[in-house]
Amino acid sequence: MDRRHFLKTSLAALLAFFFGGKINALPQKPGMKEALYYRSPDSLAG
Amino acid sequence: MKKIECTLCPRHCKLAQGQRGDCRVRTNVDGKLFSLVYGNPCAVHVDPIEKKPVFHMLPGTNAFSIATAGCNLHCLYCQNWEISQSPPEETRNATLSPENVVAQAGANNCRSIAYTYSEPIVFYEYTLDTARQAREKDIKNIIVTAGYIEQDPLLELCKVTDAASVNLKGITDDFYKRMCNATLKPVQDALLTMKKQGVWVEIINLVIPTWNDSDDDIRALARWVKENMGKDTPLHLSRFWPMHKLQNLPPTPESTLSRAWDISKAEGLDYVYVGNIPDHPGNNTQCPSCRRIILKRYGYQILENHLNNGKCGYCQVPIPGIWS
Repeated sequence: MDRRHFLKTSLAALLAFFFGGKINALPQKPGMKEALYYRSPDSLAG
Repeated sequence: MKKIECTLCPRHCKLAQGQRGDCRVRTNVDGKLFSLVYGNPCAVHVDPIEKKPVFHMLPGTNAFSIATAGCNLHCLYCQNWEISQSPPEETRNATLSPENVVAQAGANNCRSIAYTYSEPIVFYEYTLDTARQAREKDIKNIIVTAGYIEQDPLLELCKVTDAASVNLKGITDDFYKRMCNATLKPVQDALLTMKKQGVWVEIINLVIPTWNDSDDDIRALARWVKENMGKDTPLHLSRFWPMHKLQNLPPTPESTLSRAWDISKAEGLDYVYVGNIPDHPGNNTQCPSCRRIILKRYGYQILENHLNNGKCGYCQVPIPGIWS
């Protein structure tokens, strides 16, 4: 395996392990698009 | 993290992080609501426009028809429950951007795009973007819907919608609650808004034995349509077929549909149709003035067309609809 590729993928795996939730917070999957009609927490009463 | 509230349909689902709406296709990701089905239809077909059914728009042409997984209603008799009652992970989905839908519609000689099969309200953003691009290419847009939507998103959708085939499933709140876990009024409000916004509306009612097939049910429905939508609004009375969770009932007898057809016409509606029985005379469009058959159909097929520039070819009375 190419050494540079190995290092890059290992680093990505480590980052994903420790910060997975945050790094992957933004949706990247096909089919995902922000909806046009909803109320965010700031505007919700109670 | 706080919940967010979807304001697309009257359910107003309040979703915690990672939760999905009742429709199964909208989710809370870090305080933002996302559609999960944008550009990923699970059904793509070229259909006769008569299949939607839309009888007063471009007869004999094809509609490029798309759907994604999900629905915001859960009707016991759903005819497309395999996709409407599934999350997108359980359907086989294509990747088709709005641009590609419009391009495919053009390539397949379709003069319209129908957002259909499941419920375009739950793939609202995909529908809206595609419809806007279709308009630029002079392709018409048809939504086939149960009309369970809030007013603001509906008003925006109406701007790019040419025709709507709206399923008015019953005429009582009790029916909507027991059959669909929903309510009637938002659907009636949606119908009124569509009409006011200039969308061509055709109303579908699936006539289900013992549920909504009494004379009183049919009469009340026809009266509501006439008084609120106008006597020239087409009403399609369709035959129920046992499906999903209502397999204990028989298909609607032809005699029931003929009776419903007669009652609706007697209530003063000009264009009443019978669906899912290909050789029933209720498939034809009759001129309300001279009573001759202007559009003769066998199921989805047009056998004779006696329309002349949107008028009856025999007596020249204008026939409402979108004809060019």
